[in-house]
Amino acid sequence: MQLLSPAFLWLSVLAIIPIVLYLFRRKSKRIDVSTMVFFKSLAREHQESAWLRRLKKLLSFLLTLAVLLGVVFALSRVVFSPKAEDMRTVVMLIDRSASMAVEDGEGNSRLDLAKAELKTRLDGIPEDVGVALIAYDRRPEIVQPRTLNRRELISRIDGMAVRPVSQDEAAAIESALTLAQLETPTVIWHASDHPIVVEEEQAEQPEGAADTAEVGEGEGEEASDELDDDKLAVDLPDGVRLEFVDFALEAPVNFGFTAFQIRRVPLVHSKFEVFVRVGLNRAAPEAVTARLEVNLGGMPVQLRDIELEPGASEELVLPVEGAEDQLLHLRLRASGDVLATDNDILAPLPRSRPVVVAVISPQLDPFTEIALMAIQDQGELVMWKGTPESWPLDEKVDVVIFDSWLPEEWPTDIPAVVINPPNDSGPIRVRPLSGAGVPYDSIRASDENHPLLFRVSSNRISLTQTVLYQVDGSLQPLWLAGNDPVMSAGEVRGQRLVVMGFSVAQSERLALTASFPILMGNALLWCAENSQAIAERVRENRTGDLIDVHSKELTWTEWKDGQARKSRVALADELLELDRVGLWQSDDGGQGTSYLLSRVESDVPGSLQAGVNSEDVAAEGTAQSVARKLFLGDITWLIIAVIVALLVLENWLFHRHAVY
Amino acid sequence: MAATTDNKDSESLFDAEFLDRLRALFLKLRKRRQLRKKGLQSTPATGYTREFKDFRHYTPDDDYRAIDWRLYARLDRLFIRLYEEIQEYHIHVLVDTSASMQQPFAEKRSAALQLAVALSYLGLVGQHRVSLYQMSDKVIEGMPPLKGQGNIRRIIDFASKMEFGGTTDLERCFREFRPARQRFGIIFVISDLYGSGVEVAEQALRHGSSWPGESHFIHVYHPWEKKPDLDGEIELIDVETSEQRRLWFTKRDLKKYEAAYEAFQKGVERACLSRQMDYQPWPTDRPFEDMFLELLSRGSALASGN
Repeated sequence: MQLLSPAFLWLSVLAIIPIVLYLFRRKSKRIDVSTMVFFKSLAREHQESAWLRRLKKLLSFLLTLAVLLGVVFALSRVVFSPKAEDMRTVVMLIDRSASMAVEDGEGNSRLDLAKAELKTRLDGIPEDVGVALIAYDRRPEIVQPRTLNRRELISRIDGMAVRPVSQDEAAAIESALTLAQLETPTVIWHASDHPIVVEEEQAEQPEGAADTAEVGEGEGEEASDELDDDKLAVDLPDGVRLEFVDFALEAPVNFGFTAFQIRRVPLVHSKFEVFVRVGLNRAAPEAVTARLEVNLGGMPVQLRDIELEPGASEELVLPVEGAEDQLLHLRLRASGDVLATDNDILAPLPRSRPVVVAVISPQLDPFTEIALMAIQDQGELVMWKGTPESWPLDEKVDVVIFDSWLPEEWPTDIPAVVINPPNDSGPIRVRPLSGAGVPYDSIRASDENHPLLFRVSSNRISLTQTVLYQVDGSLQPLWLAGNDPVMSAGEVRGQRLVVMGFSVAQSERLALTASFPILMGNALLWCAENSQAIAERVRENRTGDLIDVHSKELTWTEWKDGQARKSRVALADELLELDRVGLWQSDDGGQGTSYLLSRVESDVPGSLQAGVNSEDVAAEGTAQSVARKLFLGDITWLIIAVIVALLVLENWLFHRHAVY
Repeated sequence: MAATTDNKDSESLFDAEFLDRLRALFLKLRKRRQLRKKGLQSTPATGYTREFKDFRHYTPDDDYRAIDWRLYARLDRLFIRLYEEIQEYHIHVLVDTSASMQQPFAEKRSAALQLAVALSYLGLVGQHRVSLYQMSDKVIEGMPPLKGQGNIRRIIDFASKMEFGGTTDLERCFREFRPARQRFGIIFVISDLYGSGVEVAEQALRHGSSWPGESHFIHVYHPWEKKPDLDGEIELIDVETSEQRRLWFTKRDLKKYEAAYEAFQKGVERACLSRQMDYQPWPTDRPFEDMFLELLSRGSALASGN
C-alpha cells in the first residue's frame, strides 16, 4: 500500500475529537418522575435494552472513526499495488487498434481510459520495478523498452494514439512475453477491449462452468466456433502473469463494413458490381437496423435498410452504373453506432481499358469473328486479326486466340485461347479426329460455376468435336463430350490457357446461340484477368498493409465531417504502411483504397464485467481481473464508496426515527 | 416502593408547631367567617331542635303542630315557629398514598398529610365524624370514624403511619368508594390525580357525582411536575411502574409538555365543575395556610358553620 498524498495523513489527528467526545460524552440523566404519562405523549421512543443501546453507541463511535479515517485515506490517495517481491518487471501491453477509439458517453475513448488507468497503476508500483510499454494493432511496437524512468514512460503513454488498424494479439503477446521473460517475475498488464485467454485459467474453470459450456454447444456450434476464433489462448511461462484490464463498453452497438470489392460487370460497359459485407457486433443488446447509403459522384443512388441480429452479417452485391474514376461512397448509418472507422468506404470506380486480343488463324472462322465483333461493339475489346505469317506479333496484346493454328514456338508470356488446335505445340498435345469430327448433341459441364461458364447455357449446347487433346499441367475440363474433354481451362506454368477441342464452324448450334459470344467474352476476360488491363484497377488494401509506392508524395482522400477531404503526405521511403482509412493516389498514377474491413475490430466487444456471457467470464478469469481492478491501484473511489456506505449504514441504524 | 413513615417524619409533619399553626388557622378562619355558634354545625335548613330560629306564615302544607297559637291569639293570623336544624357531617378524607405522592417530591406527601390532618382537625373541632382513607390502587379505610377533638392524636398517628407506594388506580378507587348514606358529609380527595393515562382522572371523576355529600378534589402537585427543568438526553423512570423512557428533551418538548399538563388540569377542573364538585389545585410551593384558607373559603360546608 502506498499513499500518493501522505501529507493529508496528519488529518487523522482529527480522530481525537470523536474519541474525546465518546469518552467524555454526556451521560443520559436518570430521572425519577411521577408524570410519565405526560412524557409519553411527547414523541416516539426507542424501546431498547441497555446492552443494545451501548452496542449502538459503540458502533456509532466506530463508524464515525471509520468515516473520518476513510476521508483521510481518500484524501491521501491510497494505492494498492502488488508487493515488490511479486514482480520485477511490468509489461504494459496496450491495444491501440481501431476498436479502442470507441467513445463512451463522456467522450473518452477506450485508449484514453486505458492510458489513464495505466498511469494510475504506474504510480502504485515500486520504483525499482522496471516497466516496458508495448503498443499493438496489427503489429506490435515496443514503444518503450524496460525502464525505471517513470517520467519518460508517462510521456510515451501520453503519446499513443488509436490507429484505424485491425489487431493481432498473437504477435503482441509474443512480443510481451519476450520482454516479460527478460527479468522475471513479471506482470503483463494487457489493456484492451479484447481479452486474451490464459490456458491455465481455462483448465481451472469450475465444473459448473464446464457443464454450462457443454450445454451451450448444442445451441449453436457455429456461433461458438466463431467466438473461439476470436480468442487467443496463451500458455504463460513461469514467472509471468497476465492481467487483463477490460475497457470495453457494456453493450456497444456497431454496424460496420467487413468486406468490400468493386468489379466490372463482364462484357457490360460502365456497369459495376459492388460487393460488401456488413455485420453487427455480437455484444449489441438487440437487433439493429442500419441504413446503407450508396452515393456516386456525390449523388445518392441507392438506399437500403439492413436489419441484423447481434453477431450476424449480410453480404450484398450492389449494381452500380457510372463512369470510370467516379467516386463511390458507401455509408452505414445505425442508431448508437460507436465506431465510425468502419462506416464509410470511399473508392473510385475502376478504370477499364479494352482488352487487346490478337486472333491468329489461317482463315478466321466467321462465327468466331462475329462473336468477337459483338464483344468489340461493347467497347470492351480491341481485336487484331492476323494470319500465321504475322506471328510473332510486334505489339503486345493481352490475349491471343489461336484458331485452327498453333505456332511451333509456344508463347509462354501471353494468355491464350486455343480453338480446334491442329497440331502439338507447347503444353498442348493433339490428336485430330478423322473425318469431319464427332458431333455431340449435348455436352456435360463439369463445373458450371467456373467464370468461363458464367451465363452460358451449357445444357443447350451441341457441337462437333474435332480433336482429342491433352495438356501438360492442371487444366480443368469444363465441357465433356462423352468421356473426352472438349473445353478445358487452367494455368500452365503461370500462363492462363483455354483449349477448345471443337470446330466452331462445324458446330452451328453452338455458334448461332447467344452463349457463344458470352463464352468467348468470358474466356478473354478470364485470360486477361491478371494482365495489365485488369491490373490497372484500384488496389484494394486493408489498413496496416505495406505497399510499394514509387512516389515521394501521396494524396489521401478521406471521408471526414461528411465530405471527402484531400491531404498531401510526404513519403519517407517507397514502402508505405497504410494507417488511414480512405483513398490514396500516388504521383505516378497509382491509386488504391485502404479500409479497416476487419471482422475483429467491427465486432466491438462488450465489457466482461457486464456479464455478457457467464461462461466466458468463468473461463477467462474475469472475476479475478475485476477484483484486481477494484482493489489494486488507486482505490480512492472505493474508499469514497465505503464512506458513503458507512454513512448510509449509520443513518439506517441510528436515524431511522426522527427523534432519538 | 412502599414508604413507611417513621416517627421522625411524624414529628416533623405534625409537631407542636404545626398544631399551633393549625389552631391559629382555625381561629383565623373562625374570625374571618364571624362564626358565632359553637359546637354543632348550623345549616340554613330548619329542623326540630329546641333552638328557635324564626317565624313564618303558615301554609297548608306545613305541620300544623308547629303553629304558634299564642301568636294566633294575639294577631289572629297563623304563624309557625321555625327551629334550628343541627346537622352532624361526616368528613371523609381520602389521601392518595401511591408512590407518585412521595417520589420524587416528598413535598407532595407532606402537603397531602398536613392537609388531611388539618381537615380532620377541622372536622373534629366541629364535632363531625371524621374518616381517613388511604387510596392507591384501591381505597382502604384505615380507621373507624372518629368524633371529638380529642381524637386528633389518633388521626395524626394514623396519618403518620400511612405507607406510600404502589400504583394509582383512580377509576377503581373512585368507583369503589361509596360511603353509606348515613355517612353523608363532605368528601376531600387529596391526590395528584395521575393515573395510567392523561384522560384517566377525567374519566374517573364521573363516579364522584354519585357520592353522598359535597366533594372536593385537591390536586396536589409539585411545580416541577408542571414545568420540568429538563434538557437533552434523559432517561425517565416512572416511580410507580418503574417503566423507563429515553427521550431527547428539547425546549419544544417542554412547551408541549406544559401544554399537556395544563390541558390535564383544565380537563379535570372542567370535569369537576360539570358535576358540581370542587377542584382545588395545590402546588406544594405555596404556603400551606394560604392554600388551606383558600380551600375553605371556596364555600365548603365545613368552613361555614363554626
